[in-house]
Amino acid sequence: MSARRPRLLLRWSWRDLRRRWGLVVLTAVIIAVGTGTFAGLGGTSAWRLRSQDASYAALRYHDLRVRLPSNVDAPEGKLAAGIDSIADADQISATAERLIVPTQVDASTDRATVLVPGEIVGLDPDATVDLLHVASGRAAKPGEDEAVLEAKFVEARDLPLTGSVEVSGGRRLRITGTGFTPEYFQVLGSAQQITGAYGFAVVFVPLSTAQSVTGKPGRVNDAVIRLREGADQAAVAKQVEAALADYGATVETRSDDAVHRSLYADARNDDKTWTALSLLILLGASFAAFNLVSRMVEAERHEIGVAMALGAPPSKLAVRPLLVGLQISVMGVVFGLIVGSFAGAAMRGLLVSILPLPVWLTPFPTGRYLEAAMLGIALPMLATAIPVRRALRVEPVDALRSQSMGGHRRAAGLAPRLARPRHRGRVVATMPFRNVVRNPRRTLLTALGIAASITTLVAVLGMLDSFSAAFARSDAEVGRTHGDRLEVSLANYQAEDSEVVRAIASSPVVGTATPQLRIGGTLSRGGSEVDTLLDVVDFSSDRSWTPSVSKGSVPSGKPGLVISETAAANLHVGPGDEVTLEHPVREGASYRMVRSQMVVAGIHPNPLRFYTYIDVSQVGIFDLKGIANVVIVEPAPGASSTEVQKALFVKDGVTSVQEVAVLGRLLEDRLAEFTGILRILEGFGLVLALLISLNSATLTMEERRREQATMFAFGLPVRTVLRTIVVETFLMAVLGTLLGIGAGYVALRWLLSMFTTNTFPELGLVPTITPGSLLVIVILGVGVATLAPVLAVRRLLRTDIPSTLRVLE
Amino acid sequence: MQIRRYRDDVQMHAQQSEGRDGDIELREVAKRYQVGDVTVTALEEVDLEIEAGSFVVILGPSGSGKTTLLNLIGALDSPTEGRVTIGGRDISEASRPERFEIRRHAVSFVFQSFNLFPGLTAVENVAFGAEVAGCGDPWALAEEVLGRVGLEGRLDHFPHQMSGGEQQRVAIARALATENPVLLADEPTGELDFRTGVQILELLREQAASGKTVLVVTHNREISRVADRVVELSSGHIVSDGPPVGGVAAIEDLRW
Repeated sequence: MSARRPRLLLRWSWRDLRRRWGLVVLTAVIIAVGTGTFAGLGGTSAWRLRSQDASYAALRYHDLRVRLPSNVDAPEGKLAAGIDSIADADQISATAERLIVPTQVDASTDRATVLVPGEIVGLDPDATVDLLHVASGRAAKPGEDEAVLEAKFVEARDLPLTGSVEVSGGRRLRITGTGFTPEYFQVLGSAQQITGAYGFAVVFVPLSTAQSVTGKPGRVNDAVIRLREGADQAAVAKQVEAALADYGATVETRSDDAVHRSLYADARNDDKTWTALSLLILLGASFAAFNLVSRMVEAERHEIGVAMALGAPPSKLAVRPLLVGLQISVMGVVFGLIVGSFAGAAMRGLLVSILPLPVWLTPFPTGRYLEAAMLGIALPMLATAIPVRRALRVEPVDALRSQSMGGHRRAAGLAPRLARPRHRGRVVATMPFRNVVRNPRRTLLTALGIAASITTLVAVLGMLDSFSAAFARSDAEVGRTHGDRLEVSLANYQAEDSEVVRAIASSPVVGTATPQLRIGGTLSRGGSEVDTLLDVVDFSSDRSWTPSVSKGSVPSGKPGLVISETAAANLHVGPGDEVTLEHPVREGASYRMVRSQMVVAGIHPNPLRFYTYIDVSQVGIFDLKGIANVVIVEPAPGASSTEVQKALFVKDGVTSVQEVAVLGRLLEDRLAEFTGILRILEGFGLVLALLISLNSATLTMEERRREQATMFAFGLPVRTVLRTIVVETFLMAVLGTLLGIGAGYVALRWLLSMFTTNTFPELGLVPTITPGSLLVIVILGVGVATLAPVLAVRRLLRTDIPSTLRVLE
Repeated sequence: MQIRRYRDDVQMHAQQSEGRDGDIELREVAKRYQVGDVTVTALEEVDLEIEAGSFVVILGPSGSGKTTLLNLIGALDSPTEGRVTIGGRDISEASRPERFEIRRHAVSFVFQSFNLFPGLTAVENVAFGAEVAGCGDPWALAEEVLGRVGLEGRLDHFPHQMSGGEQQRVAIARALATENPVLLADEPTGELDFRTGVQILELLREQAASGKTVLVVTHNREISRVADRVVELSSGHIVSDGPPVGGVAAIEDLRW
């Protein structure tokens, strides 16, 4: 007997599941989407850290790097000899000399003009430090004019895998493949500004080819060192620096490598954002599962009452519904493995395409999945336990009353408030409204179920929209006037009437050329600090572009800074406030950094935080009057941007020629990882919203079966009954969607602030939800839920009226 | 317009067959259900004629087929064999929309478990019935009918605010408000105490006296004592049909 009872309970609960298999499977899928997304997304940080470790190890990443000052080089072998001469040379396992030279790269094809700054990296083919990973094609052969092009640049520019590029000096190199060394796992670009791989080409060639191409035969300017295990890195670095002091060498460790540093920092910081987002999806799914399971158990209250009336002890009665909850949870968690695998595969594909590491280790995140599974099981169980507890506390006589819909004292909810004044309209037409207010708990649960999915959707779509809005604001601001202008970066500071500036201005394809000064600095106030690029512009001129001002005024001909909205927010300042600007001041042939108190005159709307503008009349504070390092040019009438790029690119002293419109593209490129992951999440969010809306509406419809049957018994046509159901679900869906939009907006703000704090502080993001996204949200929140009953019209048509009317008796 | 057309239609049928709206006739009616491989016979060879204005009790134990019979007369179901006519109109092979029409304009139900809409007040529940049947002023009619069943003081009360007896009165009022000629009651006293049950029976008898055809399905033999006619079913067959044994009893003589 004792063995039979658990079997009976199990069988009974299994029958309960089969009776509502549609809802059960949908609920399980909702749990699966939540747990799977949480596990799939949450594992990326571990994947990245492991894969980066393995990739750096596989390519024998250096421990120390020796750099010589720009324009200084050494005879080949001298750097290695100097390194070998140190006292602790036995702590060094391998050394490799390299020649790394800035260059201009013309990678234009028949389809597009691609002229970008870049680097020629000459590597010893036999080196055992910082190996070149050839991702496609083959390595370049020494003695041939061959090169391997950095893989991400090729992908970003959609270049063919075969072809050639031209580098400074007019040498053309045949491309034999794509690849990268550890220092280029991520490409930051020139001067580590936002150019990314899109705007920077790295050309890997054998050392001899580099020496030949750059006109530095037998010369090197860089060396990398691998140390033995347990070596004293600091001591070796110090000794190497001393040994190569004649060359002015500096020795950097791994932590000085911006790419290495940012890769590890990004892996950890990005994880916070993805964890927050996937947690949001998991919570949304869990709440929806909680809601649905709770309502399924709620519907069993009558049966529980019957059993109680028969004298069954409450503890025994709780077992069956709890088993139902457990079975749904387990089913959901098992499905979650599949969803998690899909999410993981999508994430892996995305990461591999964005971050070209030679080794990717992406095992299934078991630990993370177990965390999600525990939550996936606990929440539906809790969802079961609460209504079971409620049901068991009801007096059997109350639970047994056939009017389970109205037998409960509080079942009329807010409906009594509608009793007076008596509504004299059509009764059938008012029924949906009364049903909605009759049981606020059920209405709220349905609405919250829909709201949970909408919250997730608003957050995900909102993030994408906010990114797009930032790109658009950036484009709008830089292209506000003189949209076809190009920025010509000069190799170093030049007099405004220098030869190079004059050469640019006199080019026949150039219409106007405005020399401009751009300097790096830091803005600070209180404890807050913001790195900035300060552009000296002529606010009074309409011949060239000037920033717009969203707050304050343009300091034309007077002191004052125009800073970005994000910088203003970070520094907690507004127009009229003072900030400290740390900036260079010329001192003889060199520069020194000084701090000046400056007034914030205006705020510009460009979302990029680092742009700051000052009027040309104030250039005296830098002691750089008449000096420029950028020339803003506009094509001559009839000349195209491409022609200008081609004409200026070959001029000495020019490092890059870039259309200002490219800035938005570079920004998008930089944020590709985030937008890519958000697109994956968008898919899961849409599925989740669809399932939850459908499930909530279907449950509502099922709960009304008896009332529908009564209407049929009185001869009300199916279309009228359907209309009352549709109106009722519509009202609840509208409520749910509104709640979801509100909660989603709060979640969006939180996520954006987390993103800008941890991941990309340079970008000012304004919470944005476009009308298109809003339409998707409304369609899924209101449309799907409202139309769900229409999908069930066949079941409605097949209603067995007599048995439905008696089903609860 | 549609209602008028239907009523004209019913009237025409009634005139053709010289029947009145409340007349009910079943000829060689059978109802069988297929449950898996097994055919379950709920009714077999049932012949029954009920005149308008009768108060008829269908009596029988559980499973005898009495609710099936009620469902067939109420156009909730169709017979497997035979013919069912109401007011002279054959509804045996009525299409689904036609059966909806019949339920709107020919028959009304009172259920054992009331089946009131919990979100509607008493007057709204009754107005629902009147509105569905297409009555001119559902609200006035609802108030009037509720007055007739003694609930004039409970118009704005919700079902949960009323006793079982009151709820069943509302259910009867809702059926009456349709002004349909046939009133079908399935165990209307099943959930009520004796005293309340008696009041409900009295109410139903009054309806018959006013010209409606009232069919009450019950397993309670005592109730059959107040009927004009008792049709007893057993295993799907009519085993007896006639006035109650010992004549029609007065309501106050009932005991159960």
